[in-house]
Amino acid sequence: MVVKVLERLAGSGLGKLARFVGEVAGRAARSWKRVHISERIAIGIVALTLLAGPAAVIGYGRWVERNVITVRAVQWAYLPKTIYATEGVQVRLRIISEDVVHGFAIDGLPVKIVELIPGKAEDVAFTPQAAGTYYYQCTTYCGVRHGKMFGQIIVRPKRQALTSPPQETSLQTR
Amino acid sequence: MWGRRGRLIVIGGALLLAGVLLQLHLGASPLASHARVIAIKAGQWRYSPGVITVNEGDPVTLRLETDDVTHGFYLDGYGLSQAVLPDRPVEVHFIATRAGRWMFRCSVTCGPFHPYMVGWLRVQPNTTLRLGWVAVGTIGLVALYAAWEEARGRKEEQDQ
Amino acid sequence: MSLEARAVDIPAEQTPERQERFLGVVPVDARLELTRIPGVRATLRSRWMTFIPTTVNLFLFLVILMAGVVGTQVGNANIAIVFIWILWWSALMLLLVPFGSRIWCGVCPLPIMGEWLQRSALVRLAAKARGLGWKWPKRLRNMWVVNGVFLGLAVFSGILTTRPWATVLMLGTIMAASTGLFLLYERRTFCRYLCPVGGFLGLYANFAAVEVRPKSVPECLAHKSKECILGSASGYGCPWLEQPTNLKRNTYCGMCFECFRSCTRDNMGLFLRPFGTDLLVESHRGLDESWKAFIMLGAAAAYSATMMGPWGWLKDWANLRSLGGWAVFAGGLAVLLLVVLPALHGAFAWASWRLGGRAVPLRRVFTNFSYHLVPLGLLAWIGFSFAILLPNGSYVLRILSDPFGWGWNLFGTAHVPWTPVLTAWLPALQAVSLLFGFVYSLDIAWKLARQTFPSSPAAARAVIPQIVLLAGLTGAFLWLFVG
Repeated sequence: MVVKVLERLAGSGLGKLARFVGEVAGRAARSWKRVHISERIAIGIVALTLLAGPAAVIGYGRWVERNVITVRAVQWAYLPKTIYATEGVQVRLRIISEDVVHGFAIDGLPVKIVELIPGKAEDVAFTPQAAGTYYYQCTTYCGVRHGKMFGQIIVRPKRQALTSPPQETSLQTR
Repeated sequence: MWGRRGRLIVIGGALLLAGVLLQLHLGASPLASHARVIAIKAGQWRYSPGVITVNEGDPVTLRLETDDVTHGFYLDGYGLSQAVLPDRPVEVHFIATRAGRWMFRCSVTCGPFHPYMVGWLRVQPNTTLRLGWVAVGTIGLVALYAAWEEARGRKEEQDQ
Repeated sequence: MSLEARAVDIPAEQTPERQERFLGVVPVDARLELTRIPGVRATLRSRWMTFIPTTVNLFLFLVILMAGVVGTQVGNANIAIVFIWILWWSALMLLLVPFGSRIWCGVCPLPIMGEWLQRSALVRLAAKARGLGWKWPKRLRNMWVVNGVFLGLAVFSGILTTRPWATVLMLGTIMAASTGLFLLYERRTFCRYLCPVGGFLGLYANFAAVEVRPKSVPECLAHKSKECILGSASGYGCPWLEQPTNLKRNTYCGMCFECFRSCTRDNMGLFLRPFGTDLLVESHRGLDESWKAFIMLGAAAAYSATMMGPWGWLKDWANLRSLGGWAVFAGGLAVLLLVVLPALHGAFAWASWRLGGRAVPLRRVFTNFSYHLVPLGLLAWIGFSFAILLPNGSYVLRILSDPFGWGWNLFGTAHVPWTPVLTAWLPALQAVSLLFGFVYSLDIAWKLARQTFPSSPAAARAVIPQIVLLAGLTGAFLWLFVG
């Protein structure tokens, strides 16, 4: 029965595609052997450059930001607008302004950055002791809608976090 | 020996000397200097006024203000640096000891055109410009004389 | 090492009289063969020597591409803006062009993938090109297309130089277009006839102090096989579609050194020479290059006025604050570069023509005399580059540690503050640059006059309006830079 299924697959388009890929791979492998060693090295270097460059950047970026929430400040909003946290668990924020000088302060928590120089990241860390909703807002005049620039941190109680499924404790919010 | 080249050098030197002496003479009697207070408004992405003219030796007070976002003020040649917050005017004081034209530029990133947010401070007399123009004039006149000589000289030879 | 006149038989049309000197000091035909220095020849002949820097540049370009797309849009915190418009542009004007001719083209990453695909080879010598190998249309074999492309970009220079996404969109498009064109057209057609950077690099390379030339022209004339043009067992035929045996100007020599590899007689050399030598070579001059000279000179003034000037309304126009304002800016720039400057030049060329006795066609006077705008133009760009580099060069340190503006700190320099450097010297540096350009332009103008007009007195009369024009232009730039 299995043989019959395989036979049918082989005859179908999928099989043809697989055969084609196999042929190209075979040809590439054979011609690779014919390629001079210096050319192989050059191809390796280029492949490394084309793949490693972006991969290294993305990988390093992810690693650097693994425990940090990046908050971007633009005229006139914070992105993300909502951050989730858990009572008693440290929160690390990296705030970067994308255009002009902004400020950042969280009402009810000891966090205040007076001056966010555009392009310059500011790191803050704090541990919310009580559950609830805390608002963060811009504290340096940055244009006509400066007053509308705010967001919120929702701190969930410890009990709720413990009884929730594991993935809910993730701090990553975008 | 004292051929064409020699004559050109002498003329060039004389012109240059004349220009420099003129420059020194002008500089010797300095323009009256008095205290200046100038209000400059910084906005995205220019200064108003964009050009300020003072005399060498003037004590200058610049009243900087802005009403849109945080800007800055940096003065080439004087090394002055000052941030300017919205609705918080601030003053900088300096004495315009260095003559010439200096750019002042925004020192706090204030948006995309921030690098081109530039104004001009002219401290009269603008010695650099004058010396530059004297040099251009001198070199130009020497070149014209050389050309005239060349055009005329050969003609005289041909006439003979 | 002393300068020595090249002891070869230079065809008369290639150089003016042997006794000519630049600024009365340096003989026009003084050459120092750099390939005689041990190691230089071997380095230039190695394919790895081009491959490695180009691949490094390709990596940097990929990082820049990413930064433009996902990095911060704050220009001075993004590697795209800082490395392209502060580092690379200044390096081109201050170092690479005056001292390296089109050396950037030799290591440029934008067309390199196209060339690799076209050759189906990276460092080995492929037998046959894989692309379609079309020939560029005869009528477009000049600088007119690049003039148009450059102008098309120049009207957006306000946005291009301040928005990372725009910089990367432009570069990415050039890369994509060049890759496609390499597969369609033969060799480096794109680089030669379409690249906007190549346009001004080509013209200003005539001023450069280095050149690739045959060591001995009679040797080339005796060697019939034309390996440098068609290729040989050791090298490709000239990718830039030049004829190395007949290379007279730097305009289209991309400093790829392929001719060093293909020539079996080892007859190609790299020479040090005085600035501006090619401006005197009467070969393939044309109005397309004249207009390139006008465009570059005018652009130096326009960019200085917009970016380094105090006029907010002009900046608003360049920044596309309103479509109408930008239209005025774009139209004004086009008119200035394509009409006003050429007309100004034309008026003085007409005066020179009249004074010179009208024996020479006016068009030839116009064209020839446009080449003395090159030294002043390049030195004006150098002056402008100082105004970019000195105040803003410190951003490079921050970018090295945090290229994307994400808060990285790779080398610990992410918090280096903006630090203007030596700005007290800026006016003096700019004035000196302009004066040097002025003097050199005068010298070239005189030599061009001698070339163009039949007799020395006629040339002397004809050069008078050019002296006036150059003095006026220099004076105007002086006012713009330091007034």
